Amino acid sequence: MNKKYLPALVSGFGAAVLTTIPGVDSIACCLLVPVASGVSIALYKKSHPDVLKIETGTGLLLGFLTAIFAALFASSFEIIITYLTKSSDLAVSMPQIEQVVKDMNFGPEAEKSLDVLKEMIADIKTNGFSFLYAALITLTNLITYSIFGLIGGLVATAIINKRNINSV
Amino acid sequence: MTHLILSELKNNLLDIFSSNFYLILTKAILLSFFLMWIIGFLTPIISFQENAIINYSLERVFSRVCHQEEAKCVTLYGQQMLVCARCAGIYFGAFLTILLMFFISLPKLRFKYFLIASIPMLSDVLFSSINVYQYSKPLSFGTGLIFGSIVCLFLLSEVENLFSNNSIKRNE
Repeated sequence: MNKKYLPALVSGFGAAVLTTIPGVDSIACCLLVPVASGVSIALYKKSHPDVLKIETGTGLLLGFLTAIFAALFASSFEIIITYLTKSSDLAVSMPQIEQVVKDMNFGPEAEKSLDVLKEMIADIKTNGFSFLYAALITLTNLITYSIFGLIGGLVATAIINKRNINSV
Repeated sequence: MTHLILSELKNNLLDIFSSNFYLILTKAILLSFFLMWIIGFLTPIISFQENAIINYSLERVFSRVCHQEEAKCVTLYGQQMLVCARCAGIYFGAFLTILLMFFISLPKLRFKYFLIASIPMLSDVLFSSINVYQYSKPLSFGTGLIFGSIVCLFLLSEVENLFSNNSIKRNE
């Protein structure tokens, strides 16, 4: 692996580990991922002391990669935790989803979707794993984390560059 | 000779115009994004009709970015915002800053501004967590507003930097 991307891997993994703490997962993408992107860029700057100014493109790429690594690791951890505990957030919020679908009276299509969800929860309860659930959380994490990773990368690049300019 | 100078001047003007155009376009896109985001978390308050499915979907979306603790969320007309007071402050701050940057030029930023903007918010988080004082929604909103504004200024400065760098590269 290119050493240039090692900071993204390290900080992405760190952020993913922190998401396993109960309660932290809800602020993972808006707080942890941008901070991890910043850490990744700071590490990159430390490992390249000859670089005076980090390019915006490099900052964006590092932020994006940090988010991707964080999403992949966080999803893997969640899948492992789901496998061990045989329960998930989806199972907890299922009665609320059922209530909403019933209230809105969406018809047979919504009922079918509900059946798919119920099947997913049944799989999790019996085997601790559902392929659809795993795919769903990975995709959701990839999308949300990457948006905040890009923003974090951009802001961190500006802050670190300003800091360097001021110190020079 | 005059022809050459004029053509060079024309190219430079076109370049400035195109980089400015992209900068304004980016600001407009960012502004629209933040506006939609703010409307999203204000939906339970500003919507005329109660729509369970929309409220539920938005609640799920915003639960990805905020803890949504009832005691920390702003409540208006008996309806609760979908993010906490601090998050609302950050997003409002970012929105207002982008809006302001359409009318005034970006100030010269220094790293210490980021530190100065972070200290009130981090102190508020720390002090309310260790019960030095009770969580205050206006205080959280205010500190979030300052932090969001400054972070957004850094974001805009990097976007501006990106376009000016591209313009320099094109000239080279």
